[in-house]
Amino acid sequence: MMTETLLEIKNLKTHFFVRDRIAKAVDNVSFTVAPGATLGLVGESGCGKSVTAHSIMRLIPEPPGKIVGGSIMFDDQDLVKASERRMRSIRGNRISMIFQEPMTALNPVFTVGDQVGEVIHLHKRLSKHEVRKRVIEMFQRVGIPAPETRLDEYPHQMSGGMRQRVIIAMALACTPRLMIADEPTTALDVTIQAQILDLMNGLKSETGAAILFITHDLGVIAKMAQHVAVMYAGRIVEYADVRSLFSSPAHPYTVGLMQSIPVYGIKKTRSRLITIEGTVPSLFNLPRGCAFSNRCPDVMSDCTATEPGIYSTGNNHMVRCLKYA
Amino acid sequence: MPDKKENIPLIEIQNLVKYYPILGGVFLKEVAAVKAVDDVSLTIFKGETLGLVGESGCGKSTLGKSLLKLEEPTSGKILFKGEEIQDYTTDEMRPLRKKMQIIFQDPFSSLNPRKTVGSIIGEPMKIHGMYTGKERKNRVREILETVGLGKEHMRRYPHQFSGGQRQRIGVARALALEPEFIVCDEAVSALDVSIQAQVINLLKDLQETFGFTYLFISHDLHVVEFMSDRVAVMYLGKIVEYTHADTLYATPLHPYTQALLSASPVPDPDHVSRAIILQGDVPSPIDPPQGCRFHTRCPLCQDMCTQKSPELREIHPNHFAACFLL
Repeated sequence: MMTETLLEIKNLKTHFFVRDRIAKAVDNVSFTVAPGATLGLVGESGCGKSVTAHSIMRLIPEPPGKIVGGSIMFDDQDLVKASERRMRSIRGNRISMIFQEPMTALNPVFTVGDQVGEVIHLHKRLSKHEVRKRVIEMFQRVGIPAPETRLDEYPHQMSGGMRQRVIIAMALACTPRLMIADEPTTALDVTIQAQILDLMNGLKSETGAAILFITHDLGVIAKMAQHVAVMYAGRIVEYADVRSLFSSPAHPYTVGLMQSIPVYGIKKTRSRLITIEGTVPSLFNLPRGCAFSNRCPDVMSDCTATEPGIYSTGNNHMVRCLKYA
Repeated sequence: MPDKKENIPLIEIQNLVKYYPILGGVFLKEVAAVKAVDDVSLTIFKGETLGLVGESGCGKSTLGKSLLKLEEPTSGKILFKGEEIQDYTTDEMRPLRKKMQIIFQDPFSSLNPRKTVGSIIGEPMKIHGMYTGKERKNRVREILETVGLGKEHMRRYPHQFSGGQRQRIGVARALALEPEFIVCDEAVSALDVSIQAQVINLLKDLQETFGFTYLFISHDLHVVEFMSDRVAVMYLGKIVEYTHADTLYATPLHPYTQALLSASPVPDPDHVSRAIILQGDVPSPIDPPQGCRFHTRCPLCQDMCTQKSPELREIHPNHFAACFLL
């Protein structure tokens, strides 16, 4: 299945060096995002999904972090090797980012209009008046009522949902080709989350921007993504299109994750949830072989000895598990 | 309401109100009030789990804390086993505290970082004069085992544990006094899915073993459905709907409940959602809308909704909702 790719990550390794120990936060991660598609990146806290996003934007604090290997191809250039100057022209312009916390992602001492305007001013040659016009236009598109007046408000004068709309307006201001959304709705209430997800889907089809959607919520992923990569302890353990992942999850971790969520009506069939035993291991102290081997219900003797490769279960469904070797 | 073995009310709240005054002006007079809980009546039966759902700021945590008298209610009645406790002083409350406990959301900030797990769990027993010396130590060990931790954990400090383990310590502390009633205030919300499932199972196991009654407060509708026998939905300080969990999820009556249920994402890509997307934000509880509090966002709003506030009525047997259109 050869399709055009917008972003191609190959064997990305982002490690953190803390004293004399190494945390392999992202270890040999590869995936591609097609233009206009949404790739979901799911996993529990500390699995490396945000570090992957920050690596693409080259926002890893160095030290202690460092991209030690691999490539991130975006528009025929390797972002791992790109100069800081080049990255500055890409961030917010070709690739933009939506963060989780609409509280902290905005600067409290500038008006929201100024903050969205700054992005446009940095990347486009427009007069002050034109920038303001563009900001109003963006606010309208993300559904902020009375944009002409709200633009002069400060972040604290807005609700969480409105603030997240401002962040989205900022991310879309320069019509990027790729948006990285890092848990964009996790801090929001359900009814507001529904508004924002609806907005993002609408804007995506309108602008044709691809989305890398990072979340821990499988319900949100099912609604947003076409393809999904599941991460565990710095590695992608399963990759598939969204239907195939939910109808036939292959990796024992993915299976466990799906069984752990209470869905409506499940209590009629069982009174307890099926859980994954134990806790996510520390990145400093991963089990030998497969990182999931110490919690895996299907563990075999080989699992603790060799690190599993990537195997196909058919139809572009990849899984990193020896069961499928 | 039927279903629960005996239907003995353990807790009854009648017309409970909790306002937080906002002081202003030169003389710090009360200029306004945050109407966190406004005229709420509920009954919690012995041995059941009552789920309380709603979005942030709707007053669900305030309700939970007020009925434990961790917040002083402004008016209304709270009955614990038929005993009116709303006017009890701290001293009068103390013997009751043993019977009513709370588990907090944040397993990071609800444990004292300078104390060992042993003393965190042992302290409530000490205060209430339960067990002495060695007996207490044994008891702490037993409780730790009940929640899935070991005796080797007694001498460790909270920072040495993961989030899920810390939440187990929070559960253990609530168990220490052998309570009858536990308020779980977003007790599993801060946890990762795989850990959340473990703690949910633990809470269910404990209820089965010890016959606890839970008030389970959460914003996560899926978790509430799984945990609860009955569910109350709150919006801006008021209960808008209140019935059996199965009924509520199968046939929600109030427009807010319907929107809330349809907005909650389902982990199934083929799920066709007829999502009702509510416009606007939750209004401020300082100045809630006149009439029905939901009318500013309600897709079915009528004229009368903006003028009069609907009462909670029994629409079907044991199914209560506060809406004029029903």
